[in-house]
Amino acid sequence: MKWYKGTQFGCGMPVSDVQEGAGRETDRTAQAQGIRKNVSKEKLLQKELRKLAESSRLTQKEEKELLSSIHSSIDERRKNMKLFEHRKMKIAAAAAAIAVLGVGTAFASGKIASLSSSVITDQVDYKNAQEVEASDTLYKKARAVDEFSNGAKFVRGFDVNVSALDENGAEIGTYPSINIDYSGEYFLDISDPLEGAEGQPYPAVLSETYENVEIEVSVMNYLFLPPDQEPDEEDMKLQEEGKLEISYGTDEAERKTSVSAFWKEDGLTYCLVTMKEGGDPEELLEMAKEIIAK
Amino acid sequence: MNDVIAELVKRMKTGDGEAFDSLYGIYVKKLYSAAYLISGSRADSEDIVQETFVKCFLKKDTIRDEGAFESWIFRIMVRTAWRYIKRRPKDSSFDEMLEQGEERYGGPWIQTDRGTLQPLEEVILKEEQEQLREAVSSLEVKQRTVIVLYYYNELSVRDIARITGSREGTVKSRLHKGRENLRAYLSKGSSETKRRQEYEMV
Repeated sequence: MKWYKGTQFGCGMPVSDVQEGAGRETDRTAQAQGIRKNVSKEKLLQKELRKLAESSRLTQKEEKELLSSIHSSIDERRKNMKLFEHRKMKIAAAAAAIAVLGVGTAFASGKIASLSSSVITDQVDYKNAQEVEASDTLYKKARAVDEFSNGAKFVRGFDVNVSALDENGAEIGTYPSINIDYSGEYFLDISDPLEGAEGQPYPAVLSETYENVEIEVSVMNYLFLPPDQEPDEEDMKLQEEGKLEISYGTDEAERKTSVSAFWKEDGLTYCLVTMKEGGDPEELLEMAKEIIAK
Repeated sequence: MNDVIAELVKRMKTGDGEAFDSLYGIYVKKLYSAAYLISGSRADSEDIVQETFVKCFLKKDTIRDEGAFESWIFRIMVRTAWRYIKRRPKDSSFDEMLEQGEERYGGPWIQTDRGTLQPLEEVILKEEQEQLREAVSSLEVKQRTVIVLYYYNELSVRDIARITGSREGTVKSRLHKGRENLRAYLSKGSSETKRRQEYEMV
């Protein structure tokens, strides 16, 4: 009666496990069966993993189609995302950045895919409304107040340089902007944007023409994420439906609702934003009127 | 080659679409295969690779070291794969890999010294291949990941540590446990096969 022990490729049990008495005969048997003896366990594992992977390779056509899907996905994301670089930016300053980048998603110019701004929030350029109005940054045409009737006070203002980027992230142009912090709760951005960079505002929940200036107030939900964090599927879906804006660059993840008042006057674009709890569209409308009336 | 890749990455960072496409051409196969081995699903692997390259382009400004691009993009792929796996029923898609393996490979995977095998040998080899597939699928996802990255992608322990966000000691431990678990799983299977072989030979 003959017996033998098989050699297992997967765990690579060596043929030396075979009983010594039958060793030589078993070796010959193993050779006769064409089983590799001298390949190490690890090499075998490597070989088998490669074959496992080969069982589902992409064809050349599939690779091309996948690349095309990738390009489409990148274009779509760039249209919906506003990327801005603020290292260690706190959530409160995100409202400032939103004021800078404006409200809305698609840009009037098809070439502009996104905006990027760089703000150094501890560098104060303006201490009061008078300095803002005297600034050459906006050709001495900007208007601002030191205090609103709801008590919000001018804290500080700074110059912002906004870059308009194409779909590949290359800079098309830049334009100047002044950003003002009112009591850390309201942020006013005054800018002279590039043609086509104004953006399409979100649907207005409130609008009024005051002293020949049309003011629109809109509300939008925001999700702020750190640069290396990804939104989940539900949020991606809301973004695609236009119900959520996702912005990257904050130091922590947080959800906020922004209320924004938007108007144009004397060639400049104004955007007043708040993300405070209970932000009220009527309140923003009245604040906008106070600046227009100045 | 590393210089070429570093140069392509530099160009991609400036928004050069052609450089991005070139990097895609260089990395798509190995990323797809690794994603497949980790996830066990062809459909998921395509999504994982798509997401990886989209993120690669959108986050290109965060690349600090062009020379470390490979571990950077593998890191994105692995994290994306883990998210996909987490979202589905435990290892359900490995059934797909088992089925595909049988469809694509009607016969044995393993080349042997002889060109032809006896019917019994074919049966034995096919069983061993299935056992390996099952064994790989039985591994916990992080063990499976390091096994794939180490043996299939031939990455260093250091790179794997960076990719998986763990310490080198943890990688080594997972490699060791992964091998042990594979051996244990296959030994269990081989005992049953052995008994059958012995029966057949008697």
